[in-house]
Amino acid sequence: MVAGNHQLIAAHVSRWFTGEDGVKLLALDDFNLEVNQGEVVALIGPSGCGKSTFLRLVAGLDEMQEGTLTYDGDPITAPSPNRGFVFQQANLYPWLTVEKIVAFGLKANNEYQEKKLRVQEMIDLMGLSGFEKSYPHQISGGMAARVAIAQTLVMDPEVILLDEPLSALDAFTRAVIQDEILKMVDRFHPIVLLVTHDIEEAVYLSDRVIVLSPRPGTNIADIPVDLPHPRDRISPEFIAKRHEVLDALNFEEA
Amino acid sequence: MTEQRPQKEPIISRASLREVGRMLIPFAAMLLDYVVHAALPNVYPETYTPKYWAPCLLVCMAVWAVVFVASLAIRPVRKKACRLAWFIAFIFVLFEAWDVATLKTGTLKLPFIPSPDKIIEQFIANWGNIVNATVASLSLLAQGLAVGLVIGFASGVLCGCSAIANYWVSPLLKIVGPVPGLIWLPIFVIAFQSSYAGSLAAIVLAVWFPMTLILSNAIKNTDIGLIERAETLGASKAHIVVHVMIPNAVPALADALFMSLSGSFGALAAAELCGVGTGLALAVRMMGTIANFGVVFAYVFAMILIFSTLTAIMFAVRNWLLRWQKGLVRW
Ligand SMILES: Nc1ncnc2c1ncn2[C@@H]1O[C@H](COP(=O)(O)OP(=O)(O)OP(=O)(O)O)[C@@H](O)[C@H]1O
Ligand SMILES: [Mg+2]
Repeated sequence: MVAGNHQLIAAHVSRWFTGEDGVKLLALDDFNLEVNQGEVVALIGPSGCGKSTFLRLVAGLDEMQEGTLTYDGDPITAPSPNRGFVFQQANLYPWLTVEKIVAFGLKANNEYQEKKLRVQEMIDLMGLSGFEKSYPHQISGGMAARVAIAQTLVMDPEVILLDEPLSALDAFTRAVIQDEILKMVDRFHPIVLLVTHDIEEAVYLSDRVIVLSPRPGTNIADIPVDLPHPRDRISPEFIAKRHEVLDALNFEEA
Repeated sequence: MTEQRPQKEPIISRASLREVGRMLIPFAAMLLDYVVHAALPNVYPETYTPKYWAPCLLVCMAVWAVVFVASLAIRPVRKKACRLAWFIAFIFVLFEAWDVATLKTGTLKLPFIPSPDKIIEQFIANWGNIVNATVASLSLLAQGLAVGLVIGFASGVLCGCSAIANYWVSPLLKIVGPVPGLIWLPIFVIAFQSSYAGSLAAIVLAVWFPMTLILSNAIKNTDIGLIERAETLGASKAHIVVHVMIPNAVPALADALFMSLSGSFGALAAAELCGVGTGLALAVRMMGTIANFGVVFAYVFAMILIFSTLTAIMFAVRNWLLRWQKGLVRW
């Protein structure tokens, strides 16, 4: 958790969708967030509360109606390879092999020649060696999720947006990829925004857990996770953190 | 986290007994043809002595023998041969039924239905004319296809990703496209002051229409998730068109190719009959009017050969383009 100089700030962000019938559907309501370089922030909240909507805004794929969203002081207006997005769906290009899917971003930015080795490195890191020449329909759902992660991380983005990237993985693979994410954070100090429904994952990976209310989503709690890495998932402190997050999520009682 | 590497099937492998048996079926049919043809007396027309059908069967057997030997070892050839075996046998049984119905019994009468032997005779006798007509047909078709496909591809892509292009081209597509080439032909001939250019234009139109329509729709309907993924990876609009939208439209492109090709055949026939005054379609009609049906069948066979060869090439291209697709129906 090295605090660097890059900074992502969301201030009073509201985003609504207008349906066919003209009815306004408020997805995000006055959402606020400040994240510094090297920080891993988990976003947790009930389904439909606007987590994906927020990540899309940060990615520059969508525009909000109110509020400001800046990266290093500049408003975010368009997508950039600097802000990598691992979508909820793997969405792999069915006509490309695993290797070419991972290399897609580098080729699109004319960096393939210099960074060729990164492609194989990411493939190995994600446990995909041997499947370089496979097409998406020939690999499993969990592998597809890992290809999607590799495709994004190969660009060495400064901001990494992860939308439930590990939900399709088995417990063991998930733990391996979680550790890979931590290693990468340690090496490159990116900003990581992680959307997850898995409280254990949020506590294991992040420096802070942001809890969102049911739609319209807004901040309810900002829980710092100040446990040293590597974290022991069954230590009393870890379990106490999980309880803290769970309590914040129990809106009914609040 | 190591998983088993996917295995590739080898190209060279030995045929199983079952496969060998299956590949022998066409031989059996050809042999049956040969025996029946030799055994039954020739009764209709009385003076006719067949010279060609038996040697033709021998040539067919020789060709199949080459395929047979090759497929004993080469897996892709074997797969294809096994798949086609029953069908080829069926065709040969049909041929012999035809032979029996005409030459051997006279059930089907001349001049309308000549025997296979008679058709081969006419094919050989009119060889020069058939070649000339074929060359004329093919050259017109090739030019029409080339121009139509290039323009169709360009306008399809353009309309698919540009709203402005779509605004101006889609009315043209809706008004001009559905009208058959035969109707446009006289107008084009007058407009271009040349029956050749007019005929070419009719073929180009027949190729352009399905290509533009199908391709532009496929490109418009590209899954937004695939595009956004490319955007977040820093791909430019042009890069997305070339590396996401066009490859994504390839299955539709294959369909469009098929529609364009069949459209071009129809337009070619129309153009030959009413425009340029050369080619196979014209020959068929001329020979038909003078009741020389042996030659008609010979020309028709030449036409079938050309169209089915082109269609086969098209499907090979399609299968190659779609090699990444799961469970693709391979024709
Ligand atoms: N393009 C859109 N048009 C209309 N409504 C939308 C659109 N995208 C999202 N919404 C609505 O906004 C709300 C928030 O959606 P969002 O996808 O951000 O939820 P989420 O928190 O990611 O949920 P989940 O955990 O199920 O993925 C939902 O009610 C959804 O229906
Ligand atoms: Mg979501």
